[in-house]
Amino acid sequence: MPEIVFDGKKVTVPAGTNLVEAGGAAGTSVPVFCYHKDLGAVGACRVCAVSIKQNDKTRMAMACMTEAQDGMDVTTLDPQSRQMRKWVTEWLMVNHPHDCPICDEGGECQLQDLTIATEHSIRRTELKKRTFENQYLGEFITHEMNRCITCYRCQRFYQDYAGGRDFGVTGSRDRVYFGRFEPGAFESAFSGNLVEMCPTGVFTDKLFRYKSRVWDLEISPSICPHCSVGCNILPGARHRMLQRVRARENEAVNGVFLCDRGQFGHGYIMDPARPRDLRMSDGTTDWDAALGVTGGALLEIARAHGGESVALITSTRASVETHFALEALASGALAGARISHFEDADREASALASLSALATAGAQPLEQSDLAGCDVLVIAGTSLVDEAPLAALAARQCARRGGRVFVVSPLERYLGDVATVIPTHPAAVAGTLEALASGTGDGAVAAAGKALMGAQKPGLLLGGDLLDGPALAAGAALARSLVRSHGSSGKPVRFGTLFPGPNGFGAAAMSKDAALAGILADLEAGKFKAAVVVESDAAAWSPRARQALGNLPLLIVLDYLPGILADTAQCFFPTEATYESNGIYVNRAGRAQGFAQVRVPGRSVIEEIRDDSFRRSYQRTPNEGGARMAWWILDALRKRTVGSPEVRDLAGIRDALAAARPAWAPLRAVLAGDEGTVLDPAAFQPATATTPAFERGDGLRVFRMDRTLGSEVLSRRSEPMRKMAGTPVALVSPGDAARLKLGGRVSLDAGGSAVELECRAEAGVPDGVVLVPRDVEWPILPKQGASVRVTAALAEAAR
Amino acid sequence: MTEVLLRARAGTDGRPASIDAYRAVGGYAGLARALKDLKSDELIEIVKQSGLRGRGGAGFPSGMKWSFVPRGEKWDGGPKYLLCNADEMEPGTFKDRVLFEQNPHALIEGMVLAAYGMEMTEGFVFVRREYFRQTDDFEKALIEARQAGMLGQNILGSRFSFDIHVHRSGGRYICGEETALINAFEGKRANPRSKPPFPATKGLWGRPTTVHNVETLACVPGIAANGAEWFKNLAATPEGAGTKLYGGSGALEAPKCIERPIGTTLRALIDEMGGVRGGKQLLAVIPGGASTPFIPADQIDVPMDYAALEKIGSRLGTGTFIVFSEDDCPVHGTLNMQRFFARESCGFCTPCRDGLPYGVEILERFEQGRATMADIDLLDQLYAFIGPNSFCALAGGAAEPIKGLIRHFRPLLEEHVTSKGCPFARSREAVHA
Amino acid sequence: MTELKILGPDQKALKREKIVDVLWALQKQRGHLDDEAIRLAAVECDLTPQEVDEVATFYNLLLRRPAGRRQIYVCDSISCDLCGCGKLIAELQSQLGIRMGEVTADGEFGLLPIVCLGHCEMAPCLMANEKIHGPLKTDADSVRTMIQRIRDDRSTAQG
Repeated sequence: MPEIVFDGKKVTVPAGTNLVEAGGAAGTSVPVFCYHKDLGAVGACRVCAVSIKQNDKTRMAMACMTEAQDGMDVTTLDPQSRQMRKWVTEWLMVNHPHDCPICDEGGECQLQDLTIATEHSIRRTELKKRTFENQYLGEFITHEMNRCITCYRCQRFYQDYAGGRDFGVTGSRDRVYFGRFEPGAFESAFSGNLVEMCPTGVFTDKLFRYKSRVWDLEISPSICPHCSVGCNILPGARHRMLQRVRARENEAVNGVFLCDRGQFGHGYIMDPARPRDLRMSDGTTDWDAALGVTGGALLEIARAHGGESVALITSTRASVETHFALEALASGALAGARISHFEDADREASALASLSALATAGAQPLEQSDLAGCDVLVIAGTSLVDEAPLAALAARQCARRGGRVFVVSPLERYLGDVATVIPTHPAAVAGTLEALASGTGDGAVAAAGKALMGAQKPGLLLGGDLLDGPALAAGAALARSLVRSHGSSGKPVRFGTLFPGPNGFGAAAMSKDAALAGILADLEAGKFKAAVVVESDAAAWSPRARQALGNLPLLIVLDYLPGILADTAQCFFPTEATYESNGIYVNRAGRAQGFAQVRVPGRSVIEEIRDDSFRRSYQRTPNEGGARMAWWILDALRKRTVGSPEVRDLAGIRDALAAARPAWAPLRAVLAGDEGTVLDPAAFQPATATTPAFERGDGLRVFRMDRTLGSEVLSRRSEPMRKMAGTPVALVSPGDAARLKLGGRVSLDAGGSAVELECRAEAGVPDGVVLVPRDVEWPILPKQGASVRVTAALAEAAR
Repeated sequence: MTEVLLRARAGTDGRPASIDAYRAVGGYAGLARALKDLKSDELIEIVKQSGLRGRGGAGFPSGMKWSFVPRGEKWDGGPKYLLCNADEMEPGTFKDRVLFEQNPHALIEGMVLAAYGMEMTEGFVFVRREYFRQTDDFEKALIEARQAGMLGQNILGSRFSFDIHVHRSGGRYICGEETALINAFEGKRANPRSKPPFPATKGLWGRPTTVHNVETLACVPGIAANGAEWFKNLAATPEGAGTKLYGGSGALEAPKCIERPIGTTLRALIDEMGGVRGGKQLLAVIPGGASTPFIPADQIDVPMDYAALEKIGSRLGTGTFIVFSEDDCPVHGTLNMQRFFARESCGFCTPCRDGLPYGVEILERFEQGRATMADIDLLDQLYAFIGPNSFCALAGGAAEPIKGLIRHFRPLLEEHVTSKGCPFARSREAVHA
Repeated sequence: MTELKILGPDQKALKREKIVDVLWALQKQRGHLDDEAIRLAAVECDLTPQEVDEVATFYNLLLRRPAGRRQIYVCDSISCDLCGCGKLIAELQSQLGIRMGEVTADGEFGLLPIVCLGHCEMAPCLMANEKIHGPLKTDADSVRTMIQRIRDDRSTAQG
């Protein structure tokens, strides 16, 4: 552990620490452009020059390229270092266009910081500024190459860190260009990080363009609601508009990164179709009155028909507090009300089974940071970049650090260049995992099994979409056997699964059983008189279940998304979306993380002003709507049904939760903006659920799956997201495509429920599989792995 | 006159010396001796003792460079590569080309010996594409060497196998930097790599690699055949070692490349090349390519060797000197060289990429009569920060002629300011009319 | 006597090592490296077009824009400068009716600067048709003769 003096302060740092980090430890933030802790040091920008006195000699060196050595006396304050920074500023400003007034980076631009720090104000060269043509890079990112200071961070992130091959650096000398071979949308699912990586304004958030100065934004710590990874974010709002989303650093989860879905998927919040107003079939417009009427009606039904005549349904995008508030409603007269915490019965069963597997495996949690730290990582039953993009980015880092990554899946479209992919029919994943555990199998399977057995830090990550019950059981058994073989020698075995939605773990932990299938069957059978559906969606329900909603004497819906539920409800209460509310989500690895209200929901000020004036001050609360957090509405209904006193605040509901379910007690310590608290799945004594086995059989089987952009329930409502996602495409194996002459538009018929969409052969997809994006709307949603007939679409056949 | 590197020469047909011609003057004797009598350690020791230093510009002791490559127990048995840097692009430098044209087998033998010493498995010659004919001829020489058993499997019946392949570049000065050369070789952009790791442990394709200049390698056969003492005694001065390909260009009556004992004085070399063009007065010399500082006319008795030139504030560089007569403006010449460096910057680091064009612009002010006295110090300051703080040696090289210009020709810069332009403009026009 | 097989790197690395040769061959066929040439090279070298372009835009001799059927590369580095390349360039520009970096109206010649060609004893010199010409006289008649010589050389004409 070398001890050095940095700007007069003594500090001891771990061996191998570079002087930028050592400076940070001593309280000096050494200015950097090209250096980034996750991209490493390359020594391109030369702004981190420091003077180092060592063995009575003084030299100047780049802090990022120099390891701290015992006895170094380092300073950034001597005339040489100061002068060097001035020169670097001057060199970089030779070509920079000084367009700060219209640059979205302004206010958080490292180049601005440096020009101010070095007091650069005079241009001493008469060089003509070089100019570049910009490229269209898709709907998310604006390109402004004239601002480039050539730090290579964008290229290093895009190519080296994220594995992209369609963007990089061309040209040379003072005409280095960062762009694509041709204008067009980025292929990478992680392109949005270029905004954060670029120290100046070359890559800026297109959705945020000309919206606000960054210092005017209202910002609060929040959690990304677009998958179960739970990336930490800083949404920014102004003029009552949610304007942008930026990563918030959390080393255990997302580091400083986000995926494009999370960064640019927020359009649903300002969606004009969003239901913003309280809507009661009796015309009540006052919240208090509406809650009274609704509570009264619910109570009346419960008294007349018993609590079991009431269905309570929420989903994985609702907060822990909302889940609990819904559960708490089922008491008093409503005792016996049927509850499901999921909107999709298949996913409910698989999430419960996953939690149970995590609880019983005896392994350590496999968090994002653990993914990168594994020496052998097996990923099974998922197309990871589609289901949980940031997990795929972390898995790539595992490979980059020398870890061996194996993927057992019918589709892998991101890690193929760094991982050993074992293309596997979803029905065969279980068999492959069993082979890994028993050390049987051959080829890549044998290699993976051998690698796992010899691993110092093994990790196993199971998916949700493409994993059946037997595969989950086999995965859990594999984890247990690894714990047995490795645990005795103190090698940690890490085991994780994916969950649906941002709070799938929380929903599963809250569930007492897999109830939705039964609830929906009884709904179809007309056994319910009332339902309370909270931030949930009926898309995965059968048409008859959806139909039955209309016949319910009382349907109460709480949501911030439009849809059939909101349209059908007699009592509709608008709720606040994640960025507008306070609460907790539990991510896929059991990390409970708080989010805090960023903005008051409502139509934007810009819509109200209806002219181009730019108001610095405006009315913060909207005139209309008055959406509330879902848990608050539920609690208000509880007061009006059960009669218990209102909880009133977040701490209150968390206390109540802790009292009712002690396993949730750690939540009381969670604060929005902190790093979160990891919950032990075993503490919840999760319900067991049986999930069916996929079948292989003859013919083609259909599997629904996420795609990175366009399938997730919130982000797909965002206009730029829809454009970037394009129309959904069904994927089949090249063999099946040739055999059945598939390609172009096809019709998929799963037992009478048919859809038409584009079909493409994808290398690596096993025979017998049709992979269909989750956002394809079926008349009746087929079961995962259902038999499907694929034929050329009528229009195609006619051609 | 002792010619070693050029002891075999191109024939009357203009084709380089054949393998037979080379063997007739003792070629491949060093290789035969080494393979028969010397262990690799012993060969390295001899090269160390010989005092051979790199002829590409940096002058690093060759034997030491060889010793950095993992051998014996430190070697994992995987590939190790020898790269010959024939990307000769330093302005004013043409000596490696002459060696290719005259005596390619000296290079081939040198490479095999170096590979034997460092226990290397493969050799590559990275050559600038502009040497079209020379490279074609070199490839023919490789075939000759293979046929004669000097290259390929079991060289001269020994257990040592080694072959040489040619890589033609797309043309870029930075490729001469050894780590940039490795990137270029791999088909990547020729940006320099950071060191450590050094090529000796992690170079081409991540394997131990040594990069040597053409002339350096061509010195090895003589050392292997005749020993370290013989090589040291070739020099004109006691502290030198070997001979040197000296090239002269610019304002010379008979510019050419000749091999002379290292340490021959600059004056003697100029005289051998017919003196200054048109009988004019000598003004200054750049001794070893554009990356070396000016020497004023009154210092040309300096021996052209590493230490002697460093003593007077200059460098040997490539040993190919550029002559300025009384009609040639060093400010104009410096501007020309700075344009070269700015144009050839790879664009990786800030001082080189953006600082060098800045320097060009300042020099243009002098040439165009817009400079002020303050611009002299600005120029000085600018390069004082560019030179030592750049990523690789390119911009450091660019700072060298500036250093010499300001040290020796400050009054001339001032004259550019006071007379609002280049005092040589008229003579330049007259000379090249 | 066959060459030894290159040991060590995988096929992918060896394909990439050939990229400049592949681009050069395409350029000789097509006159310059148009976007299609970049795509062809990408297939040949197992790279994406972007990855090829990163290399193609780096080198002096690889031309991403049309530069005439024959390129006249004039050395403008220090030794040639001391021997009158300024005059040579002026004369070439005037006789061809184009400036450095441009192509003659008939598409025959592209006039391009190049760094030191390594033939400094032959200064001033230029490269055309893969040959070095020098030392050159810079008077109008000599330059005219030389242009004609380059025009008449059929050995390496492109596209």
